Amino acid sequence: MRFLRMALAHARIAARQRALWAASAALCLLSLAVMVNGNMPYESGDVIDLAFFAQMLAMLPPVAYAAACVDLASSPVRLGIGEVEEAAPVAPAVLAAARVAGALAVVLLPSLALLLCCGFGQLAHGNFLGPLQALVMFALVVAPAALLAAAFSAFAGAALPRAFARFASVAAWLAALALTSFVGVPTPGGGMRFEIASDPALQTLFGLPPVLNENAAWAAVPASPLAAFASVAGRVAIAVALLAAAGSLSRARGGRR
Amino acid sequence: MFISLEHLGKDFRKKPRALDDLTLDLPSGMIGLVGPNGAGKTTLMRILCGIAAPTRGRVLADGHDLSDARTRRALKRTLGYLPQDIEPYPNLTPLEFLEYMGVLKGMDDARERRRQAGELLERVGLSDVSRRRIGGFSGGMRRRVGIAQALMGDPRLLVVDEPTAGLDPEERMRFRALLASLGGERTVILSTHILDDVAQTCPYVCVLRGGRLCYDGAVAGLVNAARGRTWVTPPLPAPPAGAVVANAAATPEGTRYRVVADVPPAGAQPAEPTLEDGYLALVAR
Repeated sequence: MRFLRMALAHARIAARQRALWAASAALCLLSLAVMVNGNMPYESGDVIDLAFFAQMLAMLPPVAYAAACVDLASSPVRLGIGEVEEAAPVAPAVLAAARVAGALAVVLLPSLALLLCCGFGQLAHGNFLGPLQALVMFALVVAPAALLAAAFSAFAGAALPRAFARFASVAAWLAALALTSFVGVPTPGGGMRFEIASDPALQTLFGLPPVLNENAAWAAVPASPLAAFASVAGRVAIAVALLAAAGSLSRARGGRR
Repeated sequence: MFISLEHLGKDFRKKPRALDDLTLDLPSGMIGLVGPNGAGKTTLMRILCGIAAPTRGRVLADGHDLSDARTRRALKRTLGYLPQDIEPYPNLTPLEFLEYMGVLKGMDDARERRRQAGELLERVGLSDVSRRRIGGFSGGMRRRVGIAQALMGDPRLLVVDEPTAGLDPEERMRFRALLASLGGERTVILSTHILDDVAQTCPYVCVLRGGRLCYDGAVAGLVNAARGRTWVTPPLPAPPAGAVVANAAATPEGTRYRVVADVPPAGAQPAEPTLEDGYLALVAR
């Protein structure tokens, strides 16, 4: 209960940053636009369309989180409020978790709303598990991606001046996407074309083809359940490590001032 | 609350020793903590608040050692802390911020949190702006939000670092009156460079210099350190050599200096010492 109250206060702080909302909502709509190919993602009633949308939501809106969350770990130290929070009977890790949970709850709201809308749309088109599947996709793919992007941002914000940190964290996010979500597909002419590889959890649980371009799906081996688990756990673990490092770095820099 | 420091020491890498073998008993009531820059005041307060750990020695709060995590946690439940540089979250209103601090301090009853937040805002004169965001407040108003947060949860130990720095005279007087009303059964540690604030609010004072304790005791005792050593010179073109200047008043004939010195400068008259004179007599030695 106490954790929820702390998270709520931090959600309120994040909710009042209009730029955060605007960027997040705009990129969610862009994700929708990217995948709409004549039809909306729910009109077929096919879960693969929903999974494709979830993948877009895990790739594009985090660019906004990467740019916007640079203050996540450093602002308490910068404002001096970190000292007061440290003097309270709350474990620093719990407080940091509440801060991240509160901020993410706000920035993820547009993604969750759109995904759920599509889930309910699928329900209307015969996929009775649509809303539940949307929630699972959100929890396993969209939320961990947002957490990771926010962690990149928080770490960059703790290590670099704010303006540089925004560029650095967006660049880091795009580099991470390039390294993990693109797969080279040989072309008949002997060259190589890069296609978007689908998320292992979406492949395993919802049958999304390994490469999002159906015509190139033959080019990659489907992910195993173990790979799906490793993908989710790995993202969360990296994010937690980055957030912990960002917290330590911010405190150390604050102590030196 | 009775706080006892035993041979307390704190080292930072590549820096002079911040605290050096500090042994001291702090009574309840208002305690002034004074000393020049780098004397170790902020370090001592951070240790007392459980934010920093001493390198040597120990701190006992009501007989319990603060090196134990459970004791530290218990102390933090009864602690109010106002650091020197604090900007409450600008996107929150003072009411929301105080409620957040109440949550952090373990106040689980929402109604009680709200009641206490409202009462404290009234006490610091911010009740009419309780629903405006802190981001639009002046420095003095933010400082008042700061002291209100320190008082959330009715702490038994209150630690305030330079609370009146940067405030205009009216704000300072208001703050001083508020601080003076807080003593009583609590222990209030007030760190400041403004000796007048200590003279007006604290019956007990500790003086630190270079991480060591120079004086602890009644304010009157510190004043006595300059008794028989405080002088006012006739108008002079330059300060007398070998004397510590406590004050200077320009006159048409020259500057009249108030000095602390063992030997009176030529033509100087003895003067009744103040806390400032006592402090200078001790620190400038």
